Amino acid sequence: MKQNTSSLLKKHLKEVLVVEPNDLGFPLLTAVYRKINIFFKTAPFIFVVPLSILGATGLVYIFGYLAVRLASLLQYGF
Amino acid sequence: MVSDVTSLILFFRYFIGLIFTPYVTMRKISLEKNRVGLVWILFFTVVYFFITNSVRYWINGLLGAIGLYIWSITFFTFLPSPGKIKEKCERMFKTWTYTLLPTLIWFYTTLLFYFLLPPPRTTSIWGKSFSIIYIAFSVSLLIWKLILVYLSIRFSLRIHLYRIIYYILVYLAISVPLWLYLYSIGISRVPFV
Repeated sequence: MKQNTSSLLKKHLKEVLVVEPNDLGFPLLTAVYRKINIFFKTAPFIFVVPLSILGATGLVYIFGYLAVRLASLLQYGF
Repeated sequence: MVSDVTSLILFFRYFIGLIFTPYVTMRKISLEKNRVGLVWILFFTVVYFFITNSVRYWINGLLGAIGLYIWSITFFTFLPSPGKIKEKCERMFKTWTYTLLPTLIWFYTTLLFYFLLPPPRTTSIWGKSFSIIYIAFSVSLLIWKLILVYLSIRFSLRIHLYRIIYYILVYLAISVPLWLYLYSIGISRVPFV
């Protein structure tokens, strides 16, 4: 049992270390990148969907007819 | 029959995983030896182009999609990165295929809406509301697609952020004229990538 857990942990560690962590060259930049990256790693839709709705509402509010035309163009795009 | 059911379950597990935990799931896909789940993406792609048969010659669209798919995998595989070409190609093949999921969802939904709420949209309150929902939906899928593409390149080529951004920019610089060409000869309006 102990050996099984150990081999599972080793396998998981090997999986995790398959790529080196990103280093952006500047410690501050790397720290900011890691903080933002957390949102993309797990359930990104939690902030992506509300942001998209806000963006789309702003787009329609600012550009009006052009944004509606964009939606029509996209609908013809399949 | 059993293997079909198993592969479908595996495909849905990865599909749900790519929504909730894209990082861990894409890493798992890149290390996985089993490729049976990929068949379902191919199946749904062929079915999609078969359905659009009534609108235009589907064989052209399908050939265009296959061409873009092969082009994308080949392009990224042969870019400088550590590891053997064969291993990189295999990982790229598995992970890039799963990046087609947002594309498939967008194309199926657009096809459905084309018949349920035919364009063009108007500037009435209903037209604007639908435009907001549809643009938000498209942008969300595009961001999800970008996340998956980033993770696909990251785990297939095992390179850093700067190089991934650089490679994506080079890819777009070559691909955008190609997409425009495909549009001009009537194969695809929105590229199936």
